Amino acid sequence: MIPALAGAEETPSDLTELSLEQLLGTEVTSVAKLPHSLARSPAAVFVVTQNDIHRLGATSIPEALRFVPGLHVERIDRNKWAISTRGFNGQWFANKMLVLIDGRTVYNPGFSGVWWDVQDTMMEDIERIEVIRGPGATLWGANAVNGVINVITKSAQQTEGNLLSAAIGTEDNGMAAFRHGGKLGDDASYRVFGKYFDRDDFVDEDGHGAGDTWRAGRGGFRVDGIADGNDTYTVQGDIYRSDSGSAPSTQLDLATLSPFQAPSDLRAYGANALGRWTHSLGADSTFSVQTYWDRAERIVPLNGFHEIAQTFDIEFQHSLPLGDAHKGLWGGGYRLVDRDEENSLKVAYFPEDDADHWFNLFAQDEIAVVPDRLSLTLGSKFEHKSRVGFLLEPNLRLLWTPDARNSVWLSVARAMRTPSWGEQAGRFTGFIFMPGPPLTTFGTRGNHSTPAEELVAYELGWHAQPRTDLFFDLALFYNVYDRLGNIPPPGAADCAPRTLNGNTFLECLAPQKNQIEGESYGLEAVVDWRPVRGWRWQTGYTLMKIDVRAAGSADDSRTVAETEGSDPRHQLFARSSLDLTNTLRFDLMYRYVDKLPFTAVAAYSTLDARLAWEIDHDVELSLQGRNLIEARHFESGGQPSLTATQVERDVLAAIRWKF
Amino acid sequence: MFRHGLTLASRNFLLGLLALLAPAFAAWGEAVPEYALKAAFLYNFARFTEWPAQPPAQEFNLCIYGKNPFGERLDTIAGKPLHGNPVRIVLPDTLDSLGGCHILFIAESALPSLPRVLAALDGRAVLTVAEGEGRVEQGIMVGLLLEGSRVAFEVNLSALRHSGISVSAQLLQLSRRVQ
Repeated sequence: MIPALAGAEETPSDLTELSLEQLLGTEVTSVAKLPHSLARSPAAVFVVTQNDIHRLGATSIPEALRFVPGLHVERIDRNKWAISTRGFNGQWFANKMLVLIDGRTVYNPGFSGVWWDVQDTMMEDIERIEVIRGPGATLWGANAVNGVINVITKSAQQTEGNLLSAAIGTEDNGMAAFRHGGKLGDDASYRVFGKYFDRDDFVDEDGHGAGDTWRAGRGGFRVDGIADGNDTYTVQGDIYRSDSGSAPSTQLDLATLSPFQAPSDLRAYGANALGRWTHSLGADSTFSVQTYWDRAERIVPLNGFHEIAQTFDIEFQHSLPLGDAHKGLWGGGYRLVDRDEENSLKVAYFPEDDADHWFNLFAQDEIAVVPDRLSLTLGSKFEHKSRVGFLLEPNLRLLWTPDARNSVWLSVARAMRTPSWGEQAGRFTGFIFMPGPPLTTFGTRGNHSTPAEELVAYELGWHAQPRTDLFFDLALFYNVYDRLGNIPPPGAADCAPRTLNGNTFLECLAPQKNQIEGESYGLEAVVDWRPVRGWRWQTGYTLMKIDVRAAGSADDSRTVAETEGSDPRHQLFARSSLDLTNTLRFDLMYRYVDKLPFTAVAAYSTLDARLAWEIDHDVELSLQGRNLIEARHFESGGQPSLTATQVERDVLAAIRWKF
Repeated sequence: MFRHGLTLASRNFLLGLLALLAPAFAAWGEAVPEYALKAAFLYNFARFTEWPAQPPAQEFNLCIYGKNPFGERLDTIAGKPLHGNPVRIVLPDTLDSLGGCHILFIAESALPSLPRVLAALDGRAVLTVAEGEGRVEQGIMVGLLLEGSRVAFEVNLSALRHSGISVSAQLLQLSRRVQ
């Protein structure tokens, strides 16, 4: 009997005779593999799913990124964010992060950052957001230096039917989004959506309304179809307009040389269209071509900034097996980025209009050194950018899977950040000044021979599942940076008298340099635990330190202090997702963000809570409270000519209706 | 020892008795291999599902697309009756042949080509199943996932409605989440 019982344990007799309830109560002996395929990826990857976005009650993409370990999401004011990983969130927002929405880069080459106020879509139509910490330049190219954020929306087949979502709250005058999806013939589906929101302003240091209101409207469509059995295509597009207020800051009128207080409100318009075609060449080989056009216009009337950036991009990619042990991937592309500026007294570019041309080729091979145990991924991107030259971005990744519950990876990669238009061709003046006499203004002057910044990153990671209900992820990194951009204090040779409208002042324009070098290191850990059915608990901790210096005999203590002091040393989050009943869900998220020494922003703790009731499968009502611990707090110290405002506690009621 | 004293016939009888009791043992929390359990879930999903009227089929096709994680665990299901036809295990290797499946389990190795698989199936009455968190958001009809050491599932009702497949209310009630 005993051996028979043991035998029964190993190969149970007919489980198909069990009811579904019995099956749900049955335990499994071992998990054949780690839960996510990402747990086997040789990189520090974290995925925000639609379920996470929904349960967090995120009303914008930055809010959905709040709990990603390793990411520092800094809200500057109601409509502006700086988002970075592994440091560098200080120098004019964050300049080492690449962000893509459905394969379209939204990285703005004008300032090497992302205008988060215009990166939006229907939150319910996001399938997932993949966040890769560490360089991704081998696949994504230049500017995927410290990390990559990939927003992926659902295909049109998944969004048929109507969905209406609306919300109103103490800080939200109202928001509404509507999507309609349906079929186009037998082989294609479409969706169209529109959304609008009107958000109230935050408060200044004294608790008074700061004027940083935010109103934006957006519409878009997506079509997904199948051409014949092996060809699929996607066509999608978006248009938007955003009106963003800001808190007043001290400005200088260069025409009269008189200082005044005014907000730098801005308007932004944009449109984009993308097409992608994928041809299947068997179960594990595909060929795809993608092309897009993107237009982003931004106007700040106060200082005369008016920029139209247009991107045209075409790229192809081919994945194919190379024998039993090799998986190959190669591709290439061309990108044209055209900029059209209107020079003003304060913001000017020389030449005023210009275009960047990018060519790239990449190849990668994933080699099964020991099948299912050890794999090696080798690859590189080869890029050429006008005015910058050739860029080489190789990567080596090793993944060791000793058993079904553990995998260990290491990576060495090189990534480059190409200089922004400002660093190359900009002249920004009059934002910082000292009363006279003579009145002195400080500004910056770009340099067309600015080289690309270089990062060599060393990473080590461990994904583990010690028990079936417990998942653990750890990443360690050591980054070595060279030729980081800086603007040293101007010397006497950089200053000259300038006369405008008969008024003479001393204008100091510090030239763009690349004198900073240094290292950063840290760790990111996350634990994902499901103690009982219907309860999930996630905790993450991030430790990060940057140590930089001016190379050789150069001296730039301000940039050193800014770089070292603009990111939190410690970050912690804890999140609980609880199903109270089949229809009632309760979510809590706590975050701790350490102080930002350079801008003297204090450490803060904050708590969000959300209760949702699914009346039936089609209607959900929810109530959420955000930033519950304090009435208000700063997350950011702002930038020259951009005043940070205090994030406020708020309550938001929302409905989601599918019909 | 005790078991050496048993005749072959009585041993067979005891094994048979155990076979009958084993399901009950399993229901009391006896641990079973993951993919044996997941295979049983696949079989059960089919029992609670109604496909729209189709040309009469000779077999009930349970397809696995991509690298088959079940191995021999599906052998217990093969040949069993479902909706009046014996279950046939099919391992299709082209997108064109997926339309003939009643249930399609999309293995992890095939997930990178999921958009093409779903496009190829669009509008067809094929119950799609895959493993992992968030699969229903990706357009899969039923997502299997591990919650601790137990298997749970999620259901994508709009995808089901779209395909014309209906599932029983009991299945929806037992699902962890209906998307």
